[in-house]
Amino acid sequence: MKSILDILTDIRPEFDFSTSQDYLADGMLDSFDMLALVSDLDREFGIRIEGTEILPENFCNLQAIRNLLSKHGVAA
Amino acid sequence: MKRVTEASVLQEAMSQIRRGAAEFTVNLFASNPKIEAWSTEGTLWMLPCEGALLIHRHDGELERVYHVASDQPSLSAALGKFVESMPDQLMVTDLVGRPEDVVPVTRTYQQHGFLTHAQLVRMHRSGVQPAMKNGATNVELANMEDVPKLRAFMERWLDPLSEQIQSVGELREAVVSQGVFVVRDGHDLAGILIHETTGQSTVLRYWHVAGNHHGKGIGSRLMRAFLARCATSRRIALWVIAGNLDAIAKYYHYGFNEDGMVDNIMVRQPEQVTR
Repeated sequence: MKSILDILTDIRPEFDFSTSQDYLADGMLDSFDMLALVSDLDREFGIRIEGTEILPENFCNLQAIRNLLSKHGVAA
Repeated sequence: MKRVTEASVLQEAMSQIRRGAAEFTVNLFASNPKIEAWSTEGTLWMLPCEGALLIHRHDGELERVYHVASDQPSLSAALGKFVESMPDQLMVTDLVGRPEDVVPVTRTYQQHGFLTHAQLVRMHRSGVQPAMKNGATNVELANMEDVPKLRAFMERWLDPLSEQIQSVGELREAVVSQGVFVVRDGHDLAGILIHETTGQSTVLRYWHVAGNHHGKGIGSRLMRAFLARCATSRRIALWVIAGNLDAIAKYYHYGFNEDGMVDNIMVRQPEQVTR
């Protein structure tokens, strides 16, 4: 199974996602990328992220994404 | 049809559509500050429907159409209602995504009289590149006095359907952030390049040379100044018309590659309306 970092790097291989605390402010992810990320997380972890959860604060850094996945019962 | 007076009202309406949506589709990717600015201008409207939300924005002679829908049938029903309510308007929409995701949405818009006007492809340049020697003589950063000239240049040389020509306010912001390069011809502009940088990423919004100044190396000078300026950006992205092979070849020359994202620009002409 891929890690969150693997998925992020697949989407934007040019960035180091392990260091940034705000992927959006740092220009590492944009709105298109967020939708791609949601789709990839759904597929990889067998979950269904709800539309109401597609908010910048849920995808702004690694911990935020972990927190979101944990709400869906995924420890990543 | 409701006028959007606050971005939060629109966001709440969008969230309701997203909730539990099986085949969610959206083409509104504007940032919150941008939506807030449109709301303040009074140019943003929305049509709430069952399972879909149609959003439109007055942009000069055009209505720019955006959607949020839980699935294609909901989008189709909402579009039918929307075009019926504004039959005499020229409408334009951008359908952005991976080609396989854009095809079904394109079909839905086609069912309601929208035709493909152009297809854009996204290109990007990744990683910090070796510094390019600027060597760009006569390339200057634009100043506030250039804003009316920039707007006039864009209105003259760009296609308003496939290029979202920036408002005077947006151009002012771009000038303030030092995102506008120009080459002058006396009091006129011979070429422009406009870009936006967010953190480690840059978007090249416009790169254009006036028709009467082609073949003088102005485009190349603008691009070199831009690449020298953005030498530390880890990603530079742009959209280019798929059929503009000359421009695409130039972008390849400067290290850009296509990344598979497309933008289908669909136009609905008033005279195509079937009453």
